[in-house]
Amino acid sequence: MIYPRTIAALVVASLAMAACSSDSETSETAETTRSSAAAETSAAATTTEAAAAETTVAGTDATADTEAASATSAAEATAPETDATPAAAEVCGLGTGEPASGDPIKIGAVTTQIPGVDLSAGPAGAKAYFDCVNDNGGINGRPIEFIVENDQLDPGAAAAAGKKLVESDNVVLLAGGISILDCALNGAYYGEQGFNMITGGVGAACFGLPHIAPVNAGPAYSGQISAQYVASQGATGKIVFVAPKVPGAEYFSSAAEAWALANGFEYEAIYPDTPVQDGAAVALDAVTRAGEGGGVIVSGSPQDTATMLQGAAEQGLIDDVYWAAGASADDISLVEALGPEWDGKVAVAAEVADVNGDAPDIALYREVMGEYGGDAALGAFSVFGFLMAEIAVDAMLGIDGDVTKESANAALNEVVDYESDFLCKPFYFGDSDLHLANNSQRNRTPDGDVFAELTGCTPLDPVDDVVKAVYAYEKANGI
Amino acid sequence: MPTLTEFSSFFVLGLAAGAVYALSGTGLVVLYRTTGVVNFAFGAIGMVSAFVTWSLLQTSWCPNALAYLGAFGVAIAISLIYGMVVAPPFAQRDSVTKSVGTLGFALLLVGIVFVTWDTAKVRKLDLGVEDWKLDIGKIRLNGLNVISIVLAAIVVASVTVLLNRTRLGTAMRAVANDREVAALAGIPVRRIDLVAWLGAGAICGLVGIINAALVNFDVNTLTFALLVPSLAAATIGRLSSLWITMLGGFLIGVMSRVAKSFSGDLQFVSDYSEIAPFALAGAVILWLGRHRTVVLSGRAMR
Repeated sequence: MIYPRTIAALVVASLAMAACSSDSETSETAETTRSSAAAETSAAATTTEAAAAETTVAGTDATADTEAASATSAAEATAPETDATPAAAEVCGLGTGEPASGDPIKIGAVTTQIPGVDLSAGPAGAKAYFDCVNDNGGINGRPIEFIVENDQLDPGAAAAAGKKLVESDNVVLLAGGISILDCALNGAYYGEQGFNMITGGVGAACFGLPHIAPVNAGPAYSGQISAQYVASQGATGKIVFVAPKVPGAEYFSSAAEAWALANGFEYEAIYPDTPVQDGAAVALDAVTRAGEGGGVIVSGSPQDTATMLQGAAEQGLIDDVYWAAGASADDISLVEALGPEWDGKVAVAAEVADVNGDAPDIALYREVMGEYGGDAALGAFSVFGFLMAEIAVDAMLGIDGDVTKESANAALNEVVDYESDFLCKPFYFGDSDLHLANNSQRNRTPDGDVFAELTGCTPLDPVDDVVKAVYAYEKANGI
Repeated sequence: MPTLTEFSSFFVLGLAAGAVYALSGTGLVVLYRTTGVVNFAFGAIGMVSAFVTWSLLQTSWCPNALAYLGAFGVAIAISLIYGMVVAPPFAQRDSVTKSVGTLGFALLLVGIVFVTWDTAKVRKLDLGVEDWKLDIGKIRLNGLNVISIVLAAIVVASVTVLLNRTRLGTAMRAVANDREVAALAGIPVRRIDLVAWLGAGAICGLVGIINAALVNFDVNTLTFALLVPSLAAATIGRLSSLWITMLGGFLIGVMSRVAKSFSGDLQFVSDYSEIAPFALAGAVILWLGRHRTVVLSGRAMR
């Protein structure tokens, strides 16, 4: 028989252990992240003549930093491809070091955050930058109020979120969100309401409307980059695309499919349930379908991607096919979870430069995330949010007169040739009917505790109609 | 049609997954037989213990063995808290009401995990047995697969012996048959209930860490995805027979994984692989209905 006092002692001991462990995990993770960022910044300072070390969150010598940026970029294997002018100085907004006050400027964003599908790192990156701007003079003295709504992957909630931002919150600009549903459900509405939105694109609608410009390429086009990569490495026969079942999963596979079929490959997509419930079975299924020497592209959340790749490793399937993973796997915690057996064995499509890079914009990102990002992880999604916020702030700082909905959206529309150390090509909004400015991407692979570059900036082959139209627009406008 | 090698590879994976379903189903049946509660928080308790274990493994001060014991400690503690605090007021209610109470508890645990841990972070729970591998041609068997299958058999055998060969087991079966009569006979019903919650908690902890290492270290998967096949296995065992529950778990695991190996003209088999638990449980319920057996009575003891 068991006695109440024994039970009580057991309960207390176990709960104490649980409490201690979760606390230590949280603080240790945060500390590791920050010390890692600090070490990187320190290393950058050594190799780039103290340029990165001078990169501070508050105002610094912008001229010196810009010069350093050029030096750093020259040393990087993944330097931007164009001759566009250098990015804005590596400070937050005006960089005055003075907190903004007065009537806030409201900026809205929609994200998707449910168990298993969590894109909230995007708005977390945007919020970190907006908070930093608010501590550095705001938008000519006015602070930014950043309002984020969660669509919960529910069409009703997504429509309500968009309507609330526009009609109840009266935001002046839409920027910083990443959502699976927002573009498809609210895109047309935003246009009718006079908004130009800068977003992290997921579904097809984000890339096919004149008033929506994504800073990223989205799962479909990073899938195409993956297909191009496995083919370049010698994959033959069949390419299999694995996309966990979420709304729009067929679209995620579409660009890779178009490219594979146009280049003589057989192609098949499989859609396991998400969260993936047995990574080994899904991986075995994909490899069996691809056949020896084929290519397997894994798309989905970092956790799903990790589960499938871990399953492949458990089954000894790593060397049976050429492996690639979509841009959502560009997450440093994936490297830790995979372990050394995947070093050099899987190519992760990367829509932005490595967050551990030395370039000034990247150092600023790390510093801002360290100070304002809270628990948000460093990775591609928070970079998207950070970039969107930077672009929105720069656009608003260029406005003569009041920042209103009309002036802010007009200013965003006029953004062209916006260069960042994170991007292969400058971002632009402009008057194109559709947007895919991020049409050149890198490939990375796990290497110890970090990612190592596999390929530099690689342009999307013009197979898909959207890519063809974007290239035609860029050619016609000298981009 | 899949080749024999492909079929065998998926079969082995199915056995490992089936072992987890069998273990979970066993925990469900043990608790149901004693308390009349279908524990919908089963996966959630295991999920919390997996997160605690992972956190302990990240620390420098905690030996691995203690981390794994911590998983059991936490799962047992959570289960006992429910058994001591929440379950007693439901004791005289019907089985459905008792069971729905555990669903609310599961949601509470999920909320606590979301607040306490960064659930977007990719995690891997390494039990240290994954590196042991046996390759038979193209079929691979790793340590985790073997341990899952062996543990399922050991747990079912142990619980069966406990229930059928010990005084405690006799008391548990007496409480399951009729609480009031058992109480009148001098059996301490509350303590027997707590023993059942304790045992169920220990199995939750075991399933939690195996599932996190074997399937997917994800809140949703560990909490809810496990429930359907486990409940189906328990239903196949008519919420009373541990051995049939175990067999049901293995059958569901094998069916759902082997179905994935079909492609080409038989692709539809793969597409519908996830319905294996429903198909099997549905078939059993229909079969039992044909013989007019009441499944959820809580009285049928085998």
